Amino acid sequence: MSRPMTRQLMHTACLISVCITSLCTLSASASIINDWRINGFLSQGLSTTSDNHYFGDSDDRISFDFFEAGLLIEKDLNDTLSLSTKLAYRAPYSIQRNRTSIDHLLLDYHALNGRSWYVGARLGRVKVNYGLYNTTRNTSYTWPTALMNDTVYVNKLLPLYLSTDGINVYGHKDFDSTSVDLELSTGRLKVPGAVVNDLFYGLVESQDLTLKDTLNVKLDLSIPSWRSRFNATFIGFDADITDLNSPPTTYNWRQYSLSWQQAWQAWQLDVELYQATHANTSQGYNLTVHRLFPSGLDIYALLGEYWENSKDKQGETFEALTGLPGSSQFSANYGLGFIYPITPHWDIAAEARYNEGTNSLLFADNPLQDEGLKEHWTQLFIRATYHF
Amino acid sequence: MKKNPQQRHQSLFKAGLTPLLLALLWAPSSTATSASKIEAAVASSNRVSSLSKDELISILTLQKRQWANGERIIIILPPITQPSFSQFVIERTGFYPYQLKRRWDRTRFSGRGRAPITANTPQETIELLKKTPNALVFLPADLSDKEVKYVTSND
Repeated sequence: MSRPMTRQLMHTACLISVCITSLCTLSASASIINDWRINGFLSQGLSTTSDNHYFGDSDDRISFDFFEAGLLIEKDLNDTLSLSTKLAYRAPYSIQRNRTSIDHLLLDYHALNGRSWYVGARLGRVKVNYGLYNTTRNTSYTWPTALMNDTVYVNKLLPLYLSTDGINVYGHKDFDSTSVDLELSTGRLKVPGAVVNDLFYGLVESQDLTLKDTLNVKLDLSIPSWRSRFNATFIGFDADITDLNSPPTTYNWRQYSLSWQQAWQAWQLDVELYQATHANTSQGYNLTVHRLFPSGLDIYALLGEYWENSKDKQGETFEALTGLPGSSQFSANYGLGFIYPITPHWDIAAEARYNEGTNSLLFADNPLQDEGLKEHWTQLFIRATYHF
Repeated sequence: MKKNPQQRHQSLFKAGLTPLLLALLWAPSSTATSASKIEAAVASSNRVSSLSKDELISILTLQKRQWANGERIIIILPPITQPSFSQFVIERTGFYPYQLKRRWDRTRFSGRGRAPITANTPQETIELLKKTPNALVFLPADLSDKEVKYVTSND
């Protein structure tokens, strides 16, 4: 069976199963308090670019490759123990490639609490809690923008390290006018070879990769009366990678990010800075300004920049050494978009962007990294989501 | 005249920008008012007697998840499109309801907390409150029921 037909069948199967589940749960609010809770979503995107490909074959065409479906199942076992799992199917946009995955599957034990604090632990597959807007950047319709900020989409971390199989410990403490949340996760995770191959431009062998000694620490400070949130995140892991051109090496990833979110009644500002050390030191930032409306309409402008190697921001050294274009070493994007809830169950989102650099383009969409890619390009992305 | 691919894309790009700009111009900037005011309430058996603004924000942003006695807080809301509820949320928390909803979705879909439950009518809310005494609900302020205790403070 051809790949497009297989994809079509998978989309249809997802659509039918989520619709049936949705119908079965539509009038369930009265009975779900102590029972199983089921939620889900279907998301279909449309992508077009002036040059290069993003979410499928989008160069001067419209690509519908972006498709995502998810099913969330939860149950409170008692006041302190709950179970939660989410299954996700992602069509072959970027690096997720027709993957049905268990995004998370965990037991949450809310161990102790006082009047102004609590601590607990989650055991199982726990999602990585990266950055400020996360908790679920890898569920498209909960992203802070229609398209995820390039600097996050591209930094190779997100698809590589969605979750960790291990333990997550969390705590919360209220002070007079602030509250602090701390989370710590550790464990390991197996990443499919196809994902690894895409991330490293086909330069590594397509074999499953095990992320070892993963550590994710997140500190969140909230000032409710100011509607401010500050956040610091650390992510680290090691992985043994077999490079086709050099001896096997251990890949050590260490990433730090700082975020600030400031909300006013009708406006919101999100700022995020981060730095990652691996083979090089990468740096990036995102700045997003939202104009919010009571109807739920969120119109935003964004600016993001990312440099693969902070000592070679324009990629000149890289170009001289490899012969590949230096523009593959950075990415800058300027965008305008909106997210609008047409009904409580339907969202539509759209975003137009002007881009400089090609670092945000993935090998899966653009296999010929060394030729034909344009440094300056524009894109338009529209997404409709049904959720329940 | 036939367009080249670059021109065709520019047309598509402009076609996408137009609705964005129209949406910006068209979007309403204030919420509708409603006759029936909403207040936060708990079951009369619940020990909580008042909630400060910060506590309400902490609960609605899913940061505070349990009452002081350790019971899980179940949030039961009217439909977030209901104007009186929108007005309550804006006045008491400074957030728009959909801002909170996006936060609930992110929390829920990452397995890090439970989102509020929607009850379509005050009667349905009271029925749910009777079954779950640890719930925080939102009801019309003029509703009188011996099972219900209003708790919002205006600090």
